Amino acid sequence: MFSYVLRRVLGAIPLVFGVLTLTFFIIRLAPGDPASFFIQPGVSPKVAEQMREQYGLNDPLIIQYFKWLGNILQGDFGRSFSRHQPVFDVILEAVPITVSLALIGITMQFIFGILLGVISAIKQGTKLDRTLTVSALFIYSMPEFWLSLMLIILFSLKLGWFPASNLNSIGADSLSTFEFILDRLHHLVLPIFVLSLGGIAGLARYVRGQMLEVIRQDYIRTARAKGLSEKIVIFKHALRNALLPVVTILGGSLPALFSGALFIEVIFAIPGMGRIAVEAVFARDYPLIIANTFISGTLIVLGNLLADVLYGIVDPRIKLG
Amino acid sequence: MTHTYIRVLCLLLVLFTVACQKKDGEKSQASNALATTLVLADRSDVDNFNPIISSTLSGGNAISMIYPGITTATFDTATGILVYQPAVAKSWTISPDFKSITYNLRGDVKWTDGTPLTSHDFKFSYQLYGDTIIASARQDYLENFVKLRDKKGNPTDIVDFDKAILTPNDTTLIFNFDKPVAKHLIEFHTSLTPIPKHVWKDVKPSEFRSSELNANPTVSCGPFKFKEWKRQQEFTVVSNPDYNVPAPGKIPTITMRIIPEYTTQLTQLKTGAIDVMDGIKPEDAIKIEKENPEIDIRTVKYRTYSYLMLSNIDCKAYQEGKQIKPHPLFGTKKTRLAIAMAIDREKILDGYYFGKYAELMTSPISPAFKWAFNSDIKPYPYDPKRAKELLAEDGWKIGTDGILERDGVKFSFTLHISKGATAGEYMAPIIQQSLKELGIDCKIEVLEFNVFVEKGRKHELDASLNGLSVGLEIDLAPTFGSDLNKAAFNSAGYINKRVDELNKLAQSKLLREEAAPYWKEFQQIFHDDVPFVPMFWGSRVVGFNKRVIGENPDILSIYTDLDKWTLSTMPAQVSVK
Repeated sequence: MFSYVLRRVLGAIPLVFGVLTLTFFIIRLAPGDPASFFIQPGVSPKVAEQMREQYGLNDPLIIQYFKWLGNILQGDFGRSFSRHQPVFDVILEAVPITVSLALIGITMQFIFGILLGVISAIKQGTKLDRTLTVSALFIYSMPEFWLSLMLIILFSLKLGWFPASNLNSIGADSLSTFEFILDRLHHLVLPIFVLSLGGIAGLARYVRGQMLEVIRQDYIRTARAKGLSEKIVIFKHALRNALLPVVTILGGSLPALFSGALFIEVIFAIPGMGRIAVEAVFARDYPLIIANTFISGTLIVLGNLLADVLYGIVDPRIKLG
Repeated sequence: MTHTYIRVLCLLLVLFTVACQKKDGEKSQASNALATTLVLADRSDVDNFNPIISSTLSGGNAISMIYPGITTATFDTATGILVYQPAVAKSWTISPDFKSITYNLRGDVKWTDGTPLTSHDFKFSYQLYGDTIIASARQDYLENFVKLRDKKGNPTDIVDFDKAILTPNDTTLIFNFDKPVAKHLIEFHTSLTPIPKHVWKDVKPSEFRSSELNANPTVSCGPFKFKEWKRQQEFTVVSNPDYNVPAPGKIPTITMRIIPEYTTQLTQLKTGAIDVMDGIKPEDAIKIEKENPEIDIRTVKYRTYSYLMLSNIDCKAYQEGKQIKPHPLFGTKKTRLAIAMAIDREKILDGYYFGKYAELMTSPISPAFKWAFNSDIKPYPYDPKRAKELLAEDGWKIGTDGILERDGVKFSFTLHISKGATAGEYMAPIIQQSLKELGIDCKIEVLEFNVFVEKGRKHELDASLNGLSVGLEIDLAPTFGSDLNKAAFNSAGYINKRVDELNKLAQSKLLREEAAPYWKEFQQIFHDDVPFVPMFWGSRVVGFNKRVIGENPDILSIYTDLDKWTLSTMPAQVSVK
C-alpha cells in the first residue's frame, strides 16, 4: 500500500508541474497584465510602466518562464502582485476558511445524501420516492449563484433568520468563545446549505441507484429468507455494499467542493480561497493564480488517490499496486 | 445505523436552531457594539493603508480616516471650485511670481505615538512620492517641482528635493517650482498626505511596497486610528481621542465590511446590517425610496459620465503599424453626428435612470465646474430624420439587403460592452434598434472587464459603451490628447492639435477666470467634432441608514465630514470629546 501511494505521489509531481507550466503560459495569453490595474483615471501614467519593470514583465516570455522555474524549484512561488505578500501567506489566510466550509459541506452531503437515497430506494415507486426524485433533479439543476441570491432574499431580507454575508456579526469579538462559534455557525448556515445542497441531491440519486441494484441481489434475498428483520437487511447487508462505490465519490467531491466554494465565497462575502482565485484572475495576479492552481491541482490528485486507496480498503477484491 | 443518523441529524438541527435563536441572547453585547459602530460596505478590499502607494478608491477612503491633510479641501458648489481650508497648516502664502508656496504648520499636531508631526514628515513623504522605485500613483503631483539640472543647465525629470522642498524649521514648509503655476494647482499638488518619517525612515524603497507597515499603520494621525484589518473581510478604525485638527471623530468605531456581491450588499443595507451603500442601481433606488423609509437615498452628480465610443481612426491600420487613417465607418464627424442624433437618449434616461439619476451630457467638462462649463451648448437633439439626411450627405446609401453601404463597405459593426456594466447592457439594445432603423447593422458583444479595457486602450474596438470619472482639476490630456501612446483613455483615437493647445493654454493660466475661455472653446469643438457620442452624467446613488446623522456626500467623497457624523443609536455619554 505504502509503495503504491508513494508511486502515485511521485507520478503526480510531473503532472502538477505540467499543469503549472500550462497555467503560466495560458494566463499570459489573456489581454491585460498585472500592471494594467494602474492604468486608471487619477493614477500617473508612468506607474504602469514602472510596475511592469519591477514585476519583470518586460523580459521576454521565455526568460520570465525560466526565472519562474528557478524560483519554483526552490519552493518559492513568489509574491502576490496585487497584495504584495508572499503568495502562500495569502493562501494560508484563506485555506482554513475554505477547508472548514468544504468539510462541513461534505459531511452534510454524505449524511443527507445517503439518508435520502436509502429512503428513496426502500420506498421505491411511492409518492415519497417520486417527490424526492423530482426535488433532487430540481435542486441538482439549479445554478448555485441563483439559488444563493434567492436564499439571501428569502432568509435574510424577508424572514430575517440568517445574515446574508461575512463570517461574524459586528462586535463578535466581545462574545464568549461559545457565543462566537454560534455566531459563526449562524453566518455559515446559508453558504453551507447552498454548498451541500447540489451534492446531497446528486448523492441521493446515486445511493438510490446503488441500493436498488443491491436489493435485487441473491444474498439480500437469502438474508430475508433467513428471517432477518428488514432494518438489518437494509442497513447491515444492503447499505454496506451499496456504499462501496459511494466512497470513491468522497475523493472526487473534495476538489468539486473547493470550486463550488468559489461562487459561494463571493456571494456570501467569505474570505476563502475561492474569492482569492476570482480576484487573482481579475487582477491578472500571475503568482497568485499559479499558486492557486497548484493547490487545486494537488487537491484533485490527492482526491483521486484518496478515492483509489479507500476503494482498496473497503473492497477486499481490489488490490492496489 | 438509522439511530446514529437520526442522532447526528438531531444534534445538527439543535445546533443550528440554537445558533439562530442565539441572536436575541447575544443582543446585549453585540447590539451594544452595533449601536456605537458605523458599518460601511465596499465591494473591494483596500489595497493598503499607505497614502504613498495606495491606488484604489477603497484605500483612499481608509487613508482619509487615519491620516491628516496639510489642508482640507471643500467643494464650493456655487462656483465649482475647490476651496482649501486650514488643517495641519494654519496658514499659507503663495509668492507673487507663483513659483513658491510657504505653509505655516501648527506645532501641536502629533502622531498617535506622541511624536510631533513636522515639516520634515512632509518633505520625507514627498521624496517617497517622487521615488520611481516606489512608483507612487501620485508622482505626477511633483511635475512642476524644481528639477535637477543636466550639464547644460536644462531641467531633467528628477526632482531636486534640496531645492524643491525646504524645511527651515519644524513648522515651516516651502515648495518651489520651476515655473509659475496656477494658484489652484499649487494648492492641489501640495496637498499630498504625509506618513511618519520616524516610522518609515529605515524602510528601503525596494522593500517599501512589501512592508508590513502598509497593512498595519499603527502610527497615524487622523480623526480615527487604525484598529485592525482582516483582509477580504473588514477593517476597523476607532476614534482618535488625541486628534486636534480640528477634533476626534465623533463615532467611536467604524467598520468597513467587504461584500463583493451587489445583491448581498443591498440586502444588508435593507436589513440594517450595514449603514451605507454606494453605487445603488437606479431601479433599486426607486424601490428603496418607496419601500424602505429607514433608508435615505442621496445622489452625487457630475463625477462620472457614460459615452458611446466610435473609433475615429481605422483600428486595423493602427494595429498594423500605428498608422492614423480615418475609420471606414466612423471616420467623419457627419456620420458620428448622425449616430448621436439617431439615439433617443431621453428614452434611456426615463427607462434606466427613471428621469432622476442621470442627466443628458453635452461635453466631458463636468457641469459641476461651473466656472469652466459652457452652458450655451445644448445636447444633440433626437432627430432620426436629420440623422438619415446626414448619412446620405456623407455618401451612405441603402444596399440591396437594407444595410447602408459606401464604396462597397457595409455599415456593419460590433458594439462592445463590459461584463457587469448594467447601464451599458440596458443601452446597447436600444442603440442597436435605433441604428437598425437608419440601416446600420450593429451587433453587440460583451467582454470581460479587463479584456474590454485592454482592447479599448489598444484601439482594437470599433465601438463601445464606456464610462469615465473626471478628476477634480480639468486635464484633457489623458482623454483627448493627440499622442495616442500617452493618452490612455482616448480610445476613440481623436486627434486635434487645437485641443492639445487649449489644454496647455488653460493649464498655464495662473487664475481660473483666465483659463475658462479655453475650456469653453474646447467644449464647442467637442460639440462640433463629436469625438464620441456623449450619453449621460450618471449620479452616484448612495443609501444611508437613517440612524446616520450628518452625512454630506459630495463630489469629493461620499464620506465627506465623516469625522463629524454621529449615530442616533449612540448613547449620549459615548460621544467622544
